[in-house]
Amino acid sequence: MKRAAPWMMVWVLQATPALAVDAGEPCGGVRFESGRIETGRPLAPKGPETEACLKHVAEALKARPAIRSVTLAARLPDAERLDGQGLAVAKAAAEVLVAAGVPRTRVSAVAPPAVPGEPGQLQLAYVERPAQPVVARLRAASGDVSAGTVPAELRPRTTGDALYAGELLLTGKGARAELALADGSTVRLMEDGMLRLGALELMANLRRKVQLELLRGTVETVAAPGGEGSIFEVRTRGAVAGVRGTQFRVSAQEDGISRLETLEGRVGLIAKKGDLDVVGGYGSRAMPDGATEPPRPLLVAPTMVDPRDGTFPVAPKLTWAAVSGARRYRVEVARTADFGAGVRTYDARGAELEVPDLGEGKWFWRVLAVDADGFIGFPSKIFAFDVRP
Amino acid sequence: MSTSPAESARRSSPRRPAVFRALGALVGVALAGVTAATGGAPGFLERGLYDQAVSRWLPEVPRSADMVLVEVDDRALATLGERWPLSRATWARAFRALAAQRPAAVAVDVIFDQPGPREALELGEDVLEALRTSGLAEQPAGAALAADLEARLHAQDGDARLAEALAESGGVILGAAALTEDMPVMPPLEDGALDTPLPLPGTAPRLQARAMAGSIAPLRMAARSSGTLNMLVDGDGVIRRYPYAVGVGGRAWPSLALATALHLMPERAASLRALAATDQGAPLMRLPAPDWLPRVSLADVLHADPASVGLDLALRGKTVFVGVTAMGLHGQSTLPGQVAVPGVEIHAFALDNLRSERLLRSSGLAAWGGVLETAAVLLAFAVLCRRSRSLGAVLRAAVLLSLLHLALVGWLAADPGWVLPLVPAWVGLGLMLVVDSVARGEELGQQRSALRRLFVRYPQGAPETPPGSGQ
Repeated sequence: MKRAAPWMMVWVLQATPALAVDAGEPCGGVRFESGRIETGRPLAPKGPETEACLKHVAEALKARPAIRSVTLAARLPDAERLDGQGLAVAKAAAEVLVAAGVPRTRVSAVAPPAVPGEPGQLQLAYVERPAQPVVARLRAASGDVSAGTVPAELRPRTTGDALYAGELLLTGKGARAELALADGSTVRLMEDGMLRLGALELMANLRRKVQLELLRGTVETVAAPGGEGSIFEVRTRGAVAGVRGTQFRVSAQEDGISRLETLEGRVGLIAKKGDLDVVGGYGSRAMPDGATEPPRPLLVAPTMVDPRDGTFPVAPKLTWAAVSGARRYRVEVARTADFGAGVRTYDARGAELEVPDLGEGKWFWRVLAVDADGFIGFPSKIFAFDVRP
Repeated sequence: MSTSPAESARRSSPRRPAVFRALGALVGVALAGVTAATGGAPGFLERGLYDQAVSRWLPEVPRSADMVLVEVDDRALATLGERWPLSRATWARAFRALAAQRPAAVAVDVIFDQPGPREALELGEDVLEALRTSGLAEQPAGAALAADLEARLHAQDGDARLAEALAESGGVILGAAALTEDMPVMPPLEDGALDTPLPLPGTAPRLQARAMAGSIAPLRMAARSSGTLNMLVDGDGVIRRYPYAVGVGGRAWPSLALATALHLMPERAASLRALAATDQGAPLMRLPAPDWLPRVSLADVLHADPASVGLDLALRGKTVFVGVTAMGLHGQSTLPGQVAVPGVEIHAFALDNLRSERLLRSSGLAAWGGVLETAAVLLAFAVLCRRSRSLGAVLRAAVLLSLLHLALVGWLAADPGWVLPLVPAWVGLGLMLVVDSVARGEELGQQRSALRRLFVRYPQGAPETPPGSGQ
């Protein structure tokens, strides 16, 4: 199926960059970014702190089998590089990685000149598996998120990890994963979901081909603008959603029903017994026999009542105005306003919810109304409150 | 009191040519204004003339004494027995061989944006692992075999050896690509950062891109820096401007020529950056002769004796540009008056232009100066038109002003390097000349008609022949 239509980008998701930082670590945090291994603190050429940090980096490297080689650079002032001293420092640091279990064949050391005026430091860069281009990167993850090529070999993944074509991404109960695709699009896999990353081809003039296969659960997609002739498809067992707009959700239910909710733009729903375009504000579904239902309006965003702000000793009761046609409500509480990480999802029958076990700190919350057939409406405005026991 | 139509025509006629002359002048000034607003000269009407001027009439860039092109030519590929792209191991050998000659800098017109093949390495690693797991490596023969295999695998890791060679060289500037919408997609750098962005406050580079692509991280880390290889190609396919800076997401990144210049002359960094910002980071280039850059084949670099005097003379202390010139492999870049120029040579021209401050300026002050100069020429012609009594005198004034304009534009381009629009003033002069000619023709016609009327009247009142004069 080909979908060639003008693309519109109306809404861009703002999210924090992928970080795997823990101030308690020996390096002050380690980040794998754009082929560089960035440490939270500058890495001195030698010393016990450097050694401890390199051991920690070695553990992080061993946990990433896609990384095939590491280059360690000792950038020292010219006076300290004389007679191979710089290279000796780099090789000594490389030996720490090897001693910590990184194969010697994958570690190399160099001593490039330092930037004039800057103190000497160690830098690390890596090369990932070359044959497969990175299709997506995990921008945010909360709960159990794992990925792998076959269901039997799924490994836990964290923010910043690369994902390749053909890999399966799995979210557990209450978990959620946000992917930054290589074409700039954002895909959120909701709880208890399974998504296979298909082809992702980037061509000249912003033309691209993105194919995702939703095996279970719900994905929420914000498609980046693409050039003429671009394809962006989310396939389920019974239907294909071809993007002609920007923001939509697709759900693959256990009973074989595929549900589509278009929040912005226009999305084509293709099933065995017909296809239709679903414009923003409407939803439709493909039944197990391949028939599609006429589009239906999505439920409006609930109006939030309380709390809209403030500090509470315990988690306050969340209340909102009831939405006509809503059978239940999905309440999301998160640590960040983009609802990318640390998201907790609750179901509520009425227009209020007592949230159990919210820890100390700032929390953001929003509510989505769900109709009798499971169609999820527009999200409410986001409000925040603080819990200070 | 009433006026006859003939009288009103006589009264209005002196104003009409002035209005049309002003309109003609306005067309000329508007053309200059459009040229200024669209980035400066040469405008689309005068590109051919500019190409002729810059390639034939402007003084050529003197032959370079301290730059050299090490080319991957057909002979190098045949000697190496490799196809393009060369293996990382070969590149590592090449950079080691170059480093042995102690060049001042090595600018590379190549992007190593993908890791080299690792299938054989991974197979070797698996064998090594199996050797160790089986316990064979604990026996003397097995240990020797494992050590030998490990050493071989280490030697075969092309990316690592290339990184070492780049670091040993100490002055290698790698290529990078600003990803514009019209170029084939390369994997963009995720953080979009090549190295350190250029501080170009208040200047939005003329060339804007959506992302940046570069060599793999270990190579970027080992090299001195990276610079973009992009060119600015005009609508007619000719490269007249060189983008010293490229804008990506509000940050500016240096080109290969600028990055090399900053490495070679750190003491002039501020002035080089200021120069590179000329014409929104993409000034017009002065062109060299076609054989301006001395060339050395990579085959000679790799196979000559490292102690060779010839190689030493060719490379020691020089700025070496490395790029591909083999048939069918290099970009067919077209410069004014020159076709099929390898892109690597254009970076070398650009570096020479920058360090010798030979850049041509055509936007900003130069562009609006061009508008004023065009207006001044046309105003002078308007004044001369009013004072001239004959069409011949007007024609002479137009020719004189055209030549003066040409001389001024030529001198400004050749000496201070300001490229002003040439054609708009000529168009304005031409239109004003036509208007003046027509007006003078009409006036002549009116005078003739008046004379004719007079002559018609005179015979009627002429004295009759005296009676009897003929008798």
